[in-house]
Amino acid sequence: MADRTVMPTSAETEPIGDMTREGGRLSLIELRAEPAVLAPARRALAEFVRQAGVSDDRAQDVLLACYEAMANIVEHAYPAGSDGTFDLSANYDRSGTLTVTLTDRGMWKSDGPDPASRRGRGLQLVRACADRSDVVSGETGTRVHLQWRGASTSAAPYDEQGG
Amino acid sequence: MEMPGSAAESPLSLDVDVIEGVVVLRARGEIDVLTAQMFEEALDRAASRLPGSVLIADLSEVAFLASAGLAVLVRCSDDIPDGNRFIVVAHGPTTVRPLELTGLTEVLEVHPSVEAALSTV
Repeated sequence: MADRTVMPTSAETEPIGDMTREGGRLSLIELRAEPAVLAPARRALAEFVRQAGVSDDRAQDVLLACYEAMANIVEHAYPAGSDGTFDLSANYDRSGTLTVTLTDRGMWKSDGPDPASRRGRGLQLVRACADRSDVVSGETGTRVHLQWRGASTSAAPYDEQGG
Repeated sequence: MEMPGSAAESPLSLDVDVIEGVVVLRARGEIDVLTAQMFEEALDRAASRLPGSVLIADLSEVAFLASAGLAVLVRCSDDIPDGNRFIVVAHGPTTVRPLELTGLTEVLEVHPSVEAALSTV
């Protein structure tokens, strides 16, 4: 039973994708893989982790890791000039573990990024800021799985009563 | 429902000050994929007309620093002519943490305040 939320609208902005928020879950679906989506997606996630009771320090890690993972998708998952989309899903469970999953339908460049490059530093930040990070690439796209244990202090999602 | 893009207000503002012959570029807001270029252009402009030999990028009021911004700092540091200094002012987790996690506190000259940076000039 999703409480669908509209972000404040502004005449100068275009929609970047669909957002759904339930008690313990945030879903951003079919975000356009372009730089303009990064800041609004980060703000939506910031609001979600704030409501989840994540401490400021950990929230900064969550937001930085997710931003860099999204930036990597925007800049490297799809060939230049082609339209691509990705999804972001965030949820926390009863133990307070926060999980963020980013799913794209493109193909990351297979050669390992140079650690001293901008992309290398971005992926370094993703790994360093998350308690656990996994990247699974398949033929249909790439899934980035990020986890923070004990991050949420409001660990009982308020949609549990089936209401 | 559809979610709109970023709000209209500028997420990054930049001011240049000259203190005792040292150029200080003060950044406020967010240095991310979209604003990094504006930050880089401002740093380049400041670096190209240094009255002295020291350029400071003051990130004290930066609320978000992404790898795109780190890349600008590294490039500026690499491009600064021999004999000149490029100093980054950063304190607080939003800026110091990404610098530390990527090892850049070892590569860049980082000070916790403009005053501390100026005292070394």
